[in-house]
Amino acid sequence: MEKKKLITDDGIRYDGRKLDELRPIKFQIGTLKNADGSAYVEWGRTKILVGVFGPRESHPKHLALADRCYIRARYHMAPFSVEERKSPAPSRREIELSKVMREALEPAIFAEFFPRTTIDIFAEVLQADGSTRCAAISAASLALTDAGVPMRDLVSSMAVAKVEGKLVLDVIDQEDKQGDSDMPMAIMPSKNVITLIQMDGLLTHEEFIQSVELAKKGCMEVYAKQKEALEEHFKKTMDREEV
Amino acid sequence: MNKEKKAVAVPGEQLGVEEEYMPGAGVYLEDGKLYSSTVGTLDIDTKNRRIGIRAGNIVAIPEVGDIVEGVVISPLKEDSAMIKIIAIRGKKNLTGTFTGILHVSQAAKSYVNTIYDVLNLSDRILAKVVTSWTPYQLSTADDDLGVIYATCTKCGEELVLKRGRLFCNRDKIFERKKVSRLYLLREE
Repeated sequence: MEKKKLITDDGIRYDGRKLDELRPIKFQIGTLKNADGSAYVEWGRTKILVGVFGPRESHPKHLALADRCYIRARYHMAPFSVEERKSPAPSRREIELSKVMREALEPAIFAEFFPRTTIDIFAEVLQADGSTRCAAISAASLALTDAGVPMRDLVSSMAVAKVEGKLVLDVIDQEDKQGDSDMPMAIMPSKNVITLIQMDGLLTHEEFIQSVELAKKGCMEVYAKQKEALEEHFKKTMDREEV
Repeated sequence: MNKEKKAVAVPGEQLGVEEEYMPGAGVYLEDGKLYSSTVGTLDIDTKNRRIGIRAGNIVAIPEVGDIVEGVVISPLKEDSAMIKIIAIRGKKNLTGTFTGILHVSQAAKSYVNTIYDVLNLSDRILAKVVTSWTPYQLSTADDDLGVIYATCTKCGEELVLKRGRLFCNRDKIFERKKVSRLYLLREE
C-alpha cells in the first residue's frame, strides 16, 4: 500500500487540523442507569463508554486488600469498533491497556478509605480511531467522580506522536500506524503529576522534552472539558432534585 | 484565596489553605492546602471555620453504627447466620451487596439457645453494624432491630404479627423469632 502524505507543507494534518490542535471532545456523565457512575466520551471519531461500580465487596474474596480498596479496570474493544472485526476475547493489547488504565487512575483515588472492597472500572470502546487509552482514562476519572468515589484529582490524558519528523498532538489511527513514534501521557492536572507515560518508537531527548510539554498542554485542554462536563452534570442533577 | 465564590468545585480544585479552614466532608488536606475530593457546591461554616463540599453523590458502604437491611442467606451453624446486606438506612441503595454475620450472642438482649430461635432462612432483618469490614458483624439486640418480614417455614405464607409473636394464618401456628418493633405485617 502506498503511503499517503499525512502532513502538508504548510502544517495541515490528514484530517485538517493544525499540528497542536485537538479533535472535538465531548464528555457526557451519568449515561448508564445501572452503574454507580458512568461517562461517555466522543473524542473525534473515538467513542468510549465507561461504567464504574463500587466500592463493593470483593469477589473472589482473596483479592481484597486489608488496608485499601482493590481497583480493577477492564479495557475492552467491541467487535465492531474497528474496520475488521475484532475478536471479543481479551487480546494481549487489551490486557496491557487495562493494567495501564488502572495504574494511571490509582494515584488519584482515595483507596485507603475503603479497605477490603473493590472498585470496578469498565471501559468499552465502541468506535476506535486512535488515542483510545487517553479517552478511556479521561472518561474513567469522570465516571469515578460521578460514582462519588473520593478523588485527589481528575486524571486527564493526551497522546503526542512524531509523524514525518513533526510532533503532533492528539493522534488519530492513521498517524499512529504510519508515524515514527507515539507517546500517550496522563496527568493529574492540578497536582502537576504524571500518572502514565508510555512511548513507542524513537524520540531524541529534545523531542521527548518537547513531547511532554505538548502533551501537558493537551491534557490541560482535556481537563477544561472535563470540568465543564462535571459542572454541567452536577447543576442538572441539582435542578432535578429541587423540582 | 478563592475570593469569588465558585458555584461548583471539582476534584483536585484548591479551596483554600490550612490556616483558613478545617477540612470538612469532601475536602482533604495536602501540604497545608485544602482541596476538594468530589464534585459539589461549597459549604462554608464561618462559625466553626470549616469548609466542606455538598456532594451530589456519595459512595455508600456500611459503617459502624449504621442500621442495615438484610436477608438471611444461610444459618451457618447453630450459633451464627450469614446475612446479605442489601440496603443501608439513610443512605442511597447499594448497587452491590455486602456480607454480614449475626452471632447468637448479638441476636437478642436475653439468652438465646440457637440461631434458629431468632431467625430463619430468607427472613428480612434490620440490624446494626458492629465492625468495620467484611464480613460485617451485626447485632439485632435493640427493640427496633430483628426480623421485619418473614414467611412460614412450613407453607411459605406471610407471617403476621399477633400479640407480639409471628403467626401463620394458614397453619395456625406461632413461630419464634426476634421480631423487630417495625415488623411490616400486623394483625389489627
